[in-house]
Amino acid sequence: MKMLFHILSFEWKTLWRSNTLKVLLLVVFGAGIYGIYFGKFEIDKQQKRIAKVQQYERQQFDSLMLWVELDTTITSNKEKYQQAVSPTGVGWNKHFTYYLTNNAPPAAGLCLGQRDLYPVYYGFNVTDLARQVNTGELANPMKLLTGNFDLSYVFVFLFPLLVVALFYNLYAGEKEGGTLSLLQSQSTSLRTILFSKGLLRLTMIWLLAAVLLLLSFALQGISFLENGVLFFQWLAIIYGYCLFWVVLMGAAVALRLSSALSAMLGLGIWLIFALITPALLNLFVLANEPLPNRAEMIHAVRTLNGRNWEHPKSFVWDRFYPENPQYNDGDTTNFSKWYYASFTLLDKEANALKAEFEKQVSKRNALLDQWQWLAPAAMVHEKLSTLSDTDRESHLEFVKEVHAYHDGLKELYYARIFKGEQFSSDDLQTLSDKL
Amino acid sequence: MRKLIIKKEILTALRDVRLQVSGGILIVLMLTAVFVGWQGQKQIQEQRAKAQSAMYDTWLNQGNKHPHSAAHYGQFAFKPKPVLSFLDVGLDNYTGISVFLEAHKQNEVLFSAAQDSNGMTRFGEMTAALILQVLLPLLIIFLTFNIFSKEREEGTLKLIHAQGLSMRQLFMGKVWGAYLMVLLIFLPIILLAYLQLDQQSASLDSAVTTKFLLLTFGYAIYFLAFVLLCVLISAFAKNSGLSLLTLLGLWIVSCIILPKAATNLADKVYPTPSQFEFKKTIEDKVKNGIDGHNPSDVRLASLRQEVLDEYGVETIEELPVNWSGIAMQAGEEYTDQVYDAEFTKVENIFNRQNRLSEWAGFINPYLAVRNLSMALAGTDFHHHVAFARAAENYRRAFVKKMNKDMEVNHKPGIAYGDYSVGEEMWSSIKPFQYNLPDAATLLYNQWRSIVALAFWLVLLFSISMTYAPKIPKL
Amino acid sequence: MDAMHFDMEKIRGLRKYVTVSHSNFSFHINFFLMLEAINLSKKYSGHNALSNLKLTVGQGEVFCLLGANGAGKTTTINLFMNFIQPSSGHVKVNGLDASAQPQDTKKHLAYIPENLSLYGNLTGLENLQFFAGLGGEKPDKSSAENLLQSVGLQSDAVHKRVSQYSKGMRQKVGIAIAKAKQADNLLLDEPTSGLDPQASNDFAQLLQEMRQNNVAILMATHDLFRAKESGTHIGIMKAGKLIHSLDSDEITLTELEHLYLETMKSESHAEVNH
Repeated sequence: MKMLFHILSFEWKTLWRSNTLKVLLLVVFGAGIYGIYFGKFEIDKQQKRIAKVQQYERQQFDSLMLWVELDTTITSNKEKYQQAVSPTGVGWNKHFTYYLTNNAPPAAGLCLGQRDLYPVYYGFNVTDLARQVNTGELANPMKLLTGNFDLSYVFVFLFPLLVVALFYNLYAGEKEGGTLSLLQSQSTSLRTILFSKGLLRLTMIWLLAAVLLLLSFALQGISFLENGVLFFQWLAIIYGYCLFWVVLMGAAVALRLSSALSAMLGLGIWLIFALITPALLNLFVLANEPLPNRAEMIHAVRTLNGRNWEHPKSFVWDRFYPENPQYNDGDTTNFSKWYYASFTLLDKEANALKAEFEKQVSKRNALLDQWQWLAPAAMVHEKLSTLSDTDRESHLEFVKEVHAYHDGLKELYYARIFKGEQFSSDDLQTLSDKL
Repeated sequence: MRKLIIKKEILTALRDVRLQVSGGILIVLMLTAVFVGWQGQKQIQEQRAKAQSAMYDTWLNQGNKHPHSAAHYGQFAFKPKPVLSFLDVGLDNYTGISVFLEAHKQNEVLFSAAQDSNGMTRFGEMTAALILQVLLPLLIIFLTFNIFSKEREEGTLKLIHAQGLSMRQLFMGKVWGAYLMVLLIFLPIILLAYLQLDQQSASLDSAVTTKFLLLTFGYAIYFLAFVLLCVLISAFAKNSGLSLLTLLGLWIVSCIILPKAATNLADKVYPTPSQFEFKKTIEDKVKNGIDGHNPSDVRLASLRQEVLDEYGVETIEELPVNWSGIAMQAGEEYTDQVYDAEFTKVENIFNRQNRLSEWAGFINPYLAVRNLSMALAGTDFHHHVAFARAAENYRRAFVKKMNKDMEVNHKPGIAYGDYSVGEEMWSSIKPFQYNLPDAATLLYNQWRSIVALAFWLVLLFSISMTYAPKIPKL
Repeated sequence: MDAMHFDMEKIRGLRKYVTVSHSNFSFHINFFLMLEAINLSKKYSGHNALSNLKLTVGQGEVFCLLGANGAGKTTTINLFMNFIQPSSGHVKVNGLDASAQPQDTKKHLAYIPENLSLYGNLTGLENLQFFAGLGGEKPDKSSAENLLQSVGLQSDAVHKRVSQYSKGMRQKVGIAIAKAKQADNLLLDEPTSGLDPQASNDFAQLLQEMRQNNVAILMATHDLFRAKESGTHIGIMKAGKLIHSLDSDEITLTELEHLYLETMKSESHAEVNH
């Protein structure tokens, strides 16, 4: 133990006084800071969009509400009033869009994950969701391709390079610097000396990681009180990942190669685990396990929609009423009821297909997950993404929320439509609260 | 004399176990990428072609209905997978693969592969492009980092120079020796890749051979430039260790860090609007007119007056043509106009963003060759837009035809449900046919990257020739 | 051989020289035989680096190994340091077998390699403290300064970074490290190569000092003059064999030179003579 500290104190001096260490740490630290700011910038951009969308929704709602307050004694106001209180009115279905937004989870700025691939808001009304939810966000595919330079990228890609850079010379440096024989002539074993040197480097890397993580929380305004567990989870994963790389480099150093060869070996290992294996996995899975043709869903919906219109209304009633008896009052001719009932059928059709597609996709992704351990960089990044709620699963959760919200709206609307009623002021209040 | 140098360089390289191993690994990776990628691509292309013809069949077999209903029924356009995309997957996984074409709406090209995959996709696909652009340069570094510094350290450089060989000759000898090694790995594999192409490929893209040759040529320039750079640094570095570190540092910055930083910066400098803004702007402009002073009802009214005047009647019922058909087509055309303007704005923003990466090719040759490769493989942004435009034009064509038929043949007075057409009409709309842009167009789009590559080659050559005599001999 | 100078410290310290030899379960008091090579051989594939070396270096003796490059001098030193393992034979340090008990033997060995390198970014003082500390006892600042002064390092250089030192200065630090260990045996590999006459002279004085402290010194060198001046015994090696071994005062410098050159020239197999 005493020997350990003895070696550490001098090793620290040697390292710190050479410029290499300072430059390396500075570069990685700089990259980390950039990553933190980039993550914040992207999330702020998303949040601004969300705020705009919500503001617009509120504005529209309020202007519709104005129509409700109109003096219906004036003839010109009568139509507007009708539009505003009728659930089937154009006011609710053409002039107003409900928006559901996916607020950025607290740590999203640390690991943007897949958040840039999906929209963070959906706009829809009470007609069929199927034809309203197939939309994406405007994004330059080039930017999606090159990916996000956020803090998780720095940890997953650049920290291993830092490990390689700090460790490749552990043995070779002493040998090529000429101090090896003097070290070997001392009664402390070379192994102890090298281990201590390695330990110091690992500690520095861990310290840098902790500093960056703390700074990220501070600079991105993530509350430590609420997200303390998240902080330690991140730290644990990153520490484990760094340790993994240190062990790998330790094995490489044990081969007692020259500094050039050690550097090449270290870089080679980094390439294999961070670049080659994930790319190979993607090649085998993406190129050979094709994705379901989601256009089928659109096709099914448009076909059914066509059929709904071509056939007599009973076509719809026969499929709608059995599953929704609460709305069945024997009416088979009312246009609005038929119209809205058909939307439910369209959604049902679409959702069935969607569920099937999702099963296929899950099977395929499970294959990727199975072999994920071959690509530790990808595995760790995925884990961080999951922790930050920015992975694909999180988006699917959001879509589920959209469906649930839509269902809730439908209940209120259908309750009125199928009774032939108008929205009461309570109803309007409920809708307002739901926004 | 130079031949001796070249021969010696090649022999030493071939006998170096490390190079044998890493070269071998690279070749295996290339073969895997080329074969598996080709299989996968064929599969995907078959799938899409099948889907395309299946959807066209549904169009043909939709039965008898009003042409406008058919316009609502719509068609699909599937983006064909470009023939050379197995060499460079480019943006293919991040752009949509199919678009629903219907009346009154411009839909997005939807369903990118990345959206259906988990985070692993973001790590890229093992393609020839990845290997040639990122990994082969690394091999070049391992091959050449001590090509000069080792000789200097071992003292043989002095001896060679004492034998009367000029530094310039020695330098170029080493460059050509290393370059030949690179070509030895590169050319056979790229040839193998080419041999996989078949009749079908030629039918999908008539310019495929030209593009292939251009791609090979582009890479050849890239590798030569890179070899020059590495030998230059080895020649002037203080020692082998520094040479290696410098080259590796440059590689990491150019291939790993800069590309990301460039696109990130581009998005800051040219911000992308949101989908919400985009749609809202289109909506507003359609409603209120492009200039804000020509609202839709006013346009409708003036159109009605125009048509009435054209046919010299007072009321719509008196028209010999279907007013709805005219009105709907007019509405379509106006929306199309608005949409085109807004879409072009967004496209321009993306182009300006991408151009930043293209200009960055002048400080980072990797970006130059990457952009060129994507363009030639057919997987860059321009290609995606070309498809989207072609699909949209197809949509406008068939919707217009439907509306025209309604205008002319659905006589006023007849109920909507009483007028219908059948397969004859449907088959008069030819299936969606999309041809990849030709080589000239895409080269024109990529002139910055081409010039950047040429710039690098010329620059490095001139530096080499000018400074070679000054190479330190001890 | 010098008279045995016992002082009370040494008597108490003698205990460490009492070892149990595993082979014959008897006590040996080895304090006269500090460094021993017993039928020491080292073979590399097809090539005998060292053949049947026998030598001993006692307290206060300076044994100089002379020979051309590849004669086996450095191999011998490396075997004593357990940098390599013998093919056959033994190396004993204070009675301990160097390959059987490497860490323990190192406690009794100080070593200055041929190309002494130190950590350039540390000062001479810090280097001394570091290496000495590895040996188990880190000297504090003042004793380290004293030690460096005692080997002749100028006081203003003590706190300067070693990257600025000359070869002679670095060697002095090396000697200080060796001294700090207070080991009974010292191994030197080409200590005077590259030193200017002043530094070489300083070194010779330090050698004398250590010799007077009863350190057993084995020195591999090319320097005939230094071997004659500082050595008590001289051995001439060729092709892995110790051809001649003689006392330093048996021969003049000129005779030594003559003998050396003759040995290098002749192809005949000469006998080892004590």
